[in-house]
Amino acid sequence: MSPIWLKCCSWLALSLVLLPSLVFFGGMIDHGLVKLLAIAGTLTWFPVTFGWMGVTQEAPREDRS
Amino acid sequence: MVSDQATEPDEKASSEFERERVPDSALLGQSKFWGMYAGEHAAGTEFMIGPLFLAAGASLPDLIVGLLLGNLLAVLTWRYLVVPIAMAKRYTLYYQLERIAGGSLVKLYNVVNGVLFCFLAGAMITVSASAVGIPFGINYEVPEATFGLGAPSFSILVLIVGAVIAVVAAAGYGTVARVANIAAPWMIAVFAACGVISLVRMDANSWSALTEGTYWSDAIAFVQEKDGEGSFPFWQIVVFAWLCNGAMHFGMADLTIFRFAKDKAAGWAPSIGMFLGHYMAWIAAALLLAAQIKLAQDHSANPGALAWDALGWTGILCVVIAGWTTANPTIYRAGLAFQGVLPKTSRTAMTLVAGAVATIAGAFPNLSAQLLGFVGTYGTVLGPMGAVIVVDYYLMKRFGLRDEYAYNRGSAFNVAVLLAWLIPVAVGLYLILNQGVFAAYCVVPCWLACGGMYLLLSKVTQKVDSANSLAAELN
Repeated sequence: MSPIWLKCCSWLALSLVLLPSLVFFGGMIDHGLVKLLAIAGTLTWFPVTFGWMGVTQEAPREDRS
Repeated sequence: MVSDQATEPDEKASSEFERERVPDSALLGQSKFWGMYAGEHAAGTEFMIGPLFLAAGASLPDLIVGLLLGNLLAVLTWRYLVVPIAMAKRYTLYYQLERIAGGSLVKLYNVVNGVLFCFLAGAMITVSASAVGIPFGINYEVPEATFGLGAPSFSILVLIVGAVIAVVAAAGYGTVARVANIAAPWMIAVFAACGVISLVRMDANSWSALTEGTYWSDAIAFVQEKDGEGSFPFWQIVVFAWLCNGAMHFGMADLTIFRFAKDKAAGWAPSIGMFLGHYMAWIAAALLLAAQIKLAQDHSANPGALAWDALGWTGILCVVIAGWTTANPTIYRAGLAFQGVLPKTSRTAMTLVAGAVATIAGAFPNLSAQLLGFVGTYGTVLGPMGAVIVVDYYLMKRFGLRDEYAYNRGSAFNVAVLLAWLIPVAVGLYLILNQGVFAAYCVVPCWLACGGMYLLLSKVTQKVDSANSLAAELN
């Protein structure tokens, strides 16, 4: 897949993590479905994002809290 | 983007400009800084710090406004204190300090830094273990005593998690760094989702319920009924939010990062870390605890359990990854700091030593439960060195004194810096440890005292040195 499609998939995956909680806030879905969609988004986010972003990473993170 | 240790391996030194000015060709645009700060301040410790505000009795309006003001002050400190010096000098903190204080004193600073890094990594290991333990039914409980162990099963889990993190850190953290950067936006989304879900679970999904805030005040009442009266007033929140990263801005650690800045506007980049990681994420994490109190009548701030209740496996993964990806480089850097003091040892061995110290620290859950105090102490100890750099840059020449004294004199130890650092820090630590003063309150007074003392002591020591040199020449 081209990077643009991979980026779209990344955004979609991230949406699956965040947006269901907002829909849950609106009372349209239940908590179990939110958890299910969040893990689906999570399992998609890492491989897909690694596909287009991994090769450009340079910086280590440091705990600053 | 950069490494901030002067003790990096030699083969890296040339590419990271550790002992030279960053050349114009290596300067970086703003986007690099925004991305980096967004990731670095959404760490595993946010899961600990947020609930601690609630447990300490902070009111919701105070928290919302106080964190806003404190984080704004932190951003301004980065922009107007760190960036001008970083862009003028373009040296790492360690090389800049070495030029002022001398190589031997920087080694001492490195040891102190390394030990504090180990305790911070220890808190991360505790946080990660709390999440790993959930699927296995291993409970994370905070004992009364500061150096009290948790349940034996939890201590064993901490040892396993710590060993894995230390071994990975010793092997180098290239892959971890990659995972960490990829995880950053996802972690921010998870934090936000946790906050929203917690509100719904507390039936605060209408404007009136949100503004009424009973979900928060009831939680505080519950905690105070169990643990006794406590308060975390507005200005304490402001000062904490401002100075919890005191070592990075007042302490000038981020000179190492901003020396690559092409434009002063890069100095606004910490705002993304502050307002996502230290604002949204802290409030979201605090809401997790409020929801747990309302639903389970349980006020134990177990990061793994809190995230599990809100988002299930995603929450668990977030706590583990947030803890792992931040503990790992912290241990690595602590190892480098120790290796800088004992250059004949291998980096791998020193990283494993740092990992062992961090793991031992992680086995005492109360240490991570005292994170609010620890990060303030961290700023109090390391922050004042930044005052030395500020005074050296802005004031030394104006007072007729020689700046970058160790470099210009070829000295390895500037006694004026040592005394100016140790005396205020000793007083600060006495106030924190013996008098119970809130640690973050000591950062700015120690910083100011250190700067003033450095100026006065330099006047004395440089005069004595000049007299001795003159006498030696005459003899």
